Amino acid sequence: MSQPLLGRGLEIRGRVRGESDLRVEGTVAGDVEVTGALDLGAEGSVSGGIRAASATIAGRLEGDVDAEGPVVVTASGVLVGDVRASEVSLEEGGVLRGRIEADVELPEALR
Amino acid sequence: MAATVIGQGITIEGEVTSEDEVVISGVVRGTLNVEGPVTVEGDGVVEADIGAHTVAIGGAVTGNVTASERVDLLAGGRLVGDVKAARLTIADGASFKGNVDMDV
Amino acid sequence: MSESTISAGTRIVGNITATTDLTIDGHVDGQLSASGAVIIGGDGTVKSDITADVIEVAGAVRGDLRARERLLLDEGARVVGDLTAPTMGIRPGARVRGRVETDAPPAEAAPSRATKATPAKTTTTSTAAATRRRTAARTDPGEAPAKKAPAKRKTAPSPVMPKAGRRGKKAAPAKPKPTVAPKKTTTRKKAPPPVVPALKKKTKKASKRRAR
Repeated sequence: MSQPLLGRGLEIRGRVRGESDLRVEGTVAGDVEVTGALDLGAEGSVSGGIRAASATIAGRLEGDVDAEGPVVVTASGVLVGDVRASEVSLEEGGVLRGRIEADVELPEALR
Repeated sequence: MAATVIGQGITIEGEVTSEDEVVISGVVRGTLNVEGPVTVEGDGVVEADIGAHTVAIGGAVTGNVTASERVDLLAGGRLVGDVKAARLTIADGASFKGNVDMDV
Repeated sequence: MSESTISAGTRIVGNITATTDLTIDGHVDGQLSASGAVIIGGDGTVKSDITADVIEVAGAVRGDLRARERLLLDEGARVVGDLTAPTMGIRPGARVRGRVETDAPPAEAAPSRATKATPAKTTTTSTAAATRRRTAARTDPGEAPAKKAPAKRKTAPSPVMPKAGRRGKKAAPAKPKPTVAPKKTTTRKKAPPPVVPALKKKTKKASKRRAR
């Protein structure tokens, strides 16, 4: 199961698209759009929007995230941008600055 | 049954309503409507009208106290306000200023 | 751990200030500011802005959460509102809608929130008295720093500073942002000389008079 990878030291300017999962350990300046899971490694960085089925951010992302599934910002992750996802989680130590747009069902008392 | 405990260091300004027991050693200002028993402990300060099943006062209460069952003013307790309850006890060492209506 | 609990059958409409930890399993509607930890249990429902050193949520909140040290949303937490804390955890299974800001400057001190409009539900006399008291606390050199400042200064900046430095490298571009705190912080830092006993006595008496 080898996963498509943008490795360390690789720099891409422009749009990245894929019909798969993708792991980014290099640098992308531009939008990233994959149909599968996006995995931004601790050394990786993206400045641009991300669209994916789900995303794990352990590196640095400056841009908005649009995911049908969950988005995870790990303890080493930095996400500066707005997130739309089914669910957003953040490990303590991770940085998140932006809006989270998710459906939140509040109990009757708070509506 | 879980009780509400308003401990020292807690100040509430507003309305407190509860189905549970309420124990106060902090400060409550406003109103207190409780179905269970209310206990104002030695450090407790209540500036509120109290309505409850039973009320035990060991701290300072300023306000009218209405209990469906009984009011006990404990030693060291201070109450400034009117009491309406079927039973009232005032312990030695308690102070009380107000009227009593025992509904006779 | 806290002794203070708002149990499931209890409902509070109004303002709560706490200098100790507070657990909420019931319902709170109003304002909540604490210098300890505020823990909202799984059944707790809170419709209020919360400021505290530590905030942990397993229940539901509508309101802005501002923690000076740490904010944790546990599995099952539901929050609609903005979250601010230097360290934040959002566990899988927690749901949020709102702005999130980690690594932010320390939240403003609890007393300054008195300037915010208090809900109309609170009895007017007590609210007015409280505002007067807090205003006095802020301007009165005898009372304010002696009571509030040391505790705050101890807790507020320390957990943030080393972090800010570490992050500075990584997160430099996004760093500068308007902060709400500075004015308050300087007021607090301007700690006047030790209180003259006579002065303190007078203010104590004064506040007692006000309390009546």
